[in-house]
Amino acid sequence: MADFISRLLAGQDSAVYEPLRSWWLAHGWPPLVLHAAWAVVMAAAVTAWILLSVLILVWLERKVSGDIQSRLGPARVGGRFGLLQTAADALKLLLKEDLIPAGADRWLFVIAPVVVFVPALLVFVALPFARTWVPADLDIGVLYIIAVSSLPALGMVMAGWGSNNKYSLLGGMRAAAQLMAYEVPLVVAVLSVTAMAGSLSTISIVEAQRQGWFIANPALWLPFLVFFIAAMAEINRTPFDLAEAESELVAGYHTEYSGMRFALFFLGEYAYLFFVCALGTVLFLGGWLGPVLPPALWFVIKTYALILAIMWVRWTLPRLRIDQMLGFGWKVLLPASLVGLVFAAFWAVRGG
Amino acid sequence: MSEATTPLVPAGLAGLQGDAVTVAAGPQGAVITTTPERLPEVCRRLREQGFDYLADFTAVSHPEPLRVVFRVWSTTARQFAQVVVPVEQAQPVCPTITPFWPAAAWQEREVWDLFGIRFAGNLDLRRILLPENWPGHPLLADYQAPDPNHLLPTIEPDPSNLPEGQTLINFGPQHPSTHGVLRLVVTLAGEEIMAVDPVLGYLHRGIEKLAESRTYPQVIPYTDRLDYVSGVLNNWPYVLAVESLLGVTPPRRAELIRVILGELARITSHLVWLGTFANDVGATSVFLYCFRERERALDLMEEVTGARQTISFFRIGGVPYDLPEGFAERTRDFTRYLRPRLDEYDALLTGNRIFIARAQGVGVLKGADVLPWAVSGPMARASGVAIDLRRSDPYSVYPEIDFAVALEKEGDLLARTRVRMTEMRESARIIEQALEMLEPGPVLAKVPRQIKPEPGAAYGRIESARGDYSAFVVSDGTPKPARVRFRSPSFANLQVLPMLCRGAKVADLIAILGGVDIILGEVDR
Repeated sequence: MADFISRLLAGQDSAVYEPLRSWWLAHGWPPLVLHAAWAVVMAAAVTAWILLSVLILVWLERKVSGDIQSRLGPARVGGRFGLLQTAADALKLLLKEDLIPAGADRWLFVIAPVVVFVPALLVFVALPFARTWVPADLDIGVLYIIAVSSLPALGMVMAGWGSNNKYSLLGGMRAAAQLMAYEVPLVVAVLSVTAMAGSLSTISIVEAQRQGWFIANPALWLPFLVFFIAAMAEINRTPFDLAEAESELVAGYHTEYSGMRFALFFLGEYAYLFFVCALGTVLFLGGWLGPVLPPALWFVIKTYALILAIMWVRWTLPRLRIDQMLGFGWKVLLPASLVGLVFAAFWAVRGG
Repeated sequence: MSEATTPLVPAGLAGLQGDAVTVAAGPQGAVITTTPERLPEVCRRLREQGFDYLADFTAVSHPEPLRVVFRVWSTTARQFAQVVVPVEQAQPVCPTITPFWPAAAWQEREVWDLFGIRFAGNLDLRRILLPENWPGHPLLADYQAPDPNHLLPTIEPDPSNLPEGQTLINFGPQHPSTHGVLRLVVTLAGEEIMAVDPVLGYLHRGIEKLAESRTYPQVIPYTDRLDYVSGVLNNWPYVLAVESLLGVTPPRRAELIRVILGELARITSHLVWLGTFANDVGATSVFLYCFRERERALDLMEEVTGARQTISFFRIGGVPYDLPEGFAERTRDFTRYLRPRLDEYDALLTGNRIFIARAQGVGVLKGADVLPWAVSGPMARASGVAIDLRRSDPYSVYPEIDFAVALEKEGDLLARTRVRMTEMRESARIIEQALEMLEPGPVLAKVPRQIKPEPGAAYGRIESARGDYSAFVVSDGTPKPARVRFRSPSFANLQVLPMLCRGAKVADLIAILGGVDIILGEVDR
């Protein structure tokens, strides 16, 4: 455990970190201070990056949906492309009154947005943007990511219960039921990749794709499909946006939230959108691998390609009903992911 | 209109003559006058004679006496019979007719609400448009309105005697998917619907009461505000009723203009329906596509009158002036533009697996339930009942026009979607034919400067975008109508909602409500 925390904090083989560490140790200063200071720097960098991506993603979503729906989208704040629209929205949300409804479970109500948002930061710890651009290359990177990324559903249930609103409660319960139905296929799909790569480390998984991205491997087509569908469910987007389901549950679990608390849900949602697509890039699209362009740029390009695909789906399809969604998760996705796993395992053994 | 059909006294009623029952032949079918005591017997005979559809149900308070007036229709013989039941002024009571026509359940609630007539045997005789604690009955002649600033305490449903594990939840009046201010008190067990009780009246503006203090032409703009989504179609039943009171026939060109604008309004209405229904099931983009198409139809409306949605273009005796130059060409452009778009939406929705999963087998209305509950319009046709008043009770120039009545058998949401998609295509065909048939000529018949029909009563009835839309106008010989009553299809169709929702999920409730296609303006009036 101590080893795990130390590696988590250390950022391991970072190109900047190693010379810094040698310099630091040469002075005979305690290594723990450097670890702590480095962790703070990395945390700040990750947070800044996520907030920036969210600003871009929200703008992008509004532009993309505008395009799909044959309208302009934001076109006034910040020039004719509305570049500052999200910043203006964020400012508005910050300035809004912070309301806690009468009869709400105050403690749950206050902590729920945090429970949803914080894992969105934590997952980025093990996501490599390039060979050395990773806060921590964990041996169990994928396992860690999967574990942390299922926490937000807990926050949604807390918000649903804490709001003292029946619509919120229905939304929270849907989030919990949905988590069960898609998380298992998602994990099994990811297992197929780890079987193929022979490692749980995100870095090793990308390195294993030097001979060819996993999406090009027929054994992983089915897991990729399962992953893509389950990922949409993971981030609660149409056709799986049942926990919010505007036309049914008003806004589901966050009906009663306003101001910055609502903004945390919103930020979390888009941070997850980025995260899920980044994970897809690592697992199937060869991460940062690519010719000519800098590796981190390749990574972002692939991630945005997946994001655009998910946005396209969102603005095209209707929403499933809860029983249909659960049935689909258990009866279609799960068997499909298992078949995929077995197939991938055979492929890996024979090929290896 | 039914002037053309031979008015017949239903044979089975002959034996009832005398002994407090009189049967007379009128221009719009037999008129049977009876007493509350003899009413069940009359109803039974009428049911036996094949009068299977309650076309309208209301009361009239002046000129005296206070009386219940309803009209039944035989969908096979295409005949009407009107029943008039004078009731006691002081303590008005009338037996319920729900055993013969279940559709009367809500209509009786409405008459109780507005006239204070009790219906013995109606088990759910609550007020329906006004709050339960409202003072008085507004359509009585001697009604005194309460202080408009006086707020009534609201009465909330009591959840205390629900079974364990069930909960009450209010859908609306403020909810994104109730299409206006409808409130549904829903009993839920988890996600499953146990019971639905629609609470109406949040958009009740008293239009029938207002009409009593307006002259005949002044009532027309109010009608647009009933079903504000299909604007001009609402003018039609009212002007038909007044024209039949006056004995005026509009010129042919006016009839064609009415058909063209009416069918355009039907298209705009169905487009709004398609968009909002898609939105209800979660496909948000279709909503904006439909509104884009609707804009073009509204542009055409605007060319005619300057208004876009509630254009009030029909007049008693025709339309006030001719269509603008080039209107025909631009309308043809629109219908040409619309067709490929509709194919696209078919691909996007009715061809989509998720949409089919959400719509197929959901909210099924059995064909056998259609007529007893007086369900009409696309709802009825989706359940395999081929009643389209443009064919079944023809009016205007529709008999000369070639169009198909959209029909599906399944009675579910998918069938309703298909019916409405087909109807838009058929409406485009009707418009094109009517444009071909246009010939120069007058557009307004000669009507007196002051419209003052002889005392009497008449119905006007059309197929609106939602179904059987009729107006009942009573004249007392003054320039103002004594009573104007609108039988709105949304009101009757909404009545079956609790039946359709039994055992459905929350998400289905929203979709089923969307599939009924109610407009609160005409439900609440």
